[in-house]
Amino acid sequence: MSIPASRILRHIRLQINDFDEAKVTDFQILNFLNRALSAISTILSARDLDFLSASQTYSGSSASAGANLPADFQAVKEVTDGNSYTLTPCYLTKTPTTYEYKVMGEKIYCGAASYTLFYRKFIAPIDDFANDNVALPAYFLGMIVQVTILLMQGAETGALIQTINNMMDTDIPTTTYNKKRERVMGNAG
Amino acid sequence: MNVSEALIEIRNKINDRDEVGLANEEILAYFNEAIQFISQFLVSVDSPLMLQDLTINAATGTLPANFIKMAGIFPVKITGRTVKLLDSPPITLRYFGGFDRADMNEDVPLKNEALVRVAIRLAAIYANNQQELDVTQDKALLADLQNAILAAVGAEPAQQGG
Repeated sequence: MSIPASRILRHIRLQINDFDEAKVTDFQILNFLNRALSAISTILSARDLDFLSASQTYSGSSASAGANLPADFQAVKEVTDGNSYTLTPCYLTKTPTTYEYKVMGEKIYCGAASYTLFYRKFIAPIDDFANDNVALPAYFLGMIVQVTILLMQGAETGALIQTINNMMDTDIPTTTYNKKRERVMGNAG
Repeated sequence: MNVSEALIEIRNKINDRDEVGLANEEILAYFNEAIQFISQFLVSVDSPLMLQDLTINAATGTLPANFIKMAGIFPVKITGRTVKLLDSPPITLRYFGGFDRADMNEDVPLKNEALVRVAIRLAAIYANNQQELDVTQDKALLADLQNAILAAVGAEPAQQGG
């Protein structure tokens, strides 16, 4: 479930009619693409879609020393211990007990012997077109290409966000497990 | 095509087959002027024909003598003819380079035959102009000439943006 950066590059070059690399360099496109990914990622996380969920399992307690958060960490969704019980967040000033965790700075602190962090990730920027992949489902290809080209044409931020939101409304499936669950819980509460 | 053959064709066009009007060196100068014109025109329309690669393996490098402009933006800082890399080397730059000068007994430095025809026509216009013959008609041909250059390299007319 990812799009090779080389495929995105080819689509963009086709659209701007510059396979000869006479007008725009890969360096320029890379920068605009990363800005586009950043904008898309920000708007996506506001919608909290399922494919932005990720998990990382830690072994060993990190109650006092803390363990590094994943590189693409954005926000905590849930933390469970080795038996899949949900842990609760604790005060920032407290050292977490076996059923607690806290996030401080770039680290997670947790008292459980082993635990899994479920988190919302952001779409990481890419470094080079030859080897990198964009961690988005294949149906985002058209949107990424369009947004990148809009940026290259000097689109303003407001108009850009509007465009991305419109595209997402029409292009991206929005029914997610998270939304269903939240609605149920919202009604119950 | 050889440069001396091209000069003979120019002489045919300006009716100076017996070398009574212009010396070979003068015609060669006009021919070079024509080549430079075609160079600059092709670069101004971003023709891929003029593109060249330059790989720099150290933190700084020197731009070649035929350098005209970069093809887009690279992470480099240019000061005069020195180019300094902002990222770590190596990096391959793409730039537009002009055609070399034509010299007697060498091949015409243009990359295809169609462009050589254009250069010959243009050199003939320059030569006639120097002799103060009427070039009004030839001037009117200039736009056609530019289109002829584009047609010669199979490019589209210049367009904005992109």
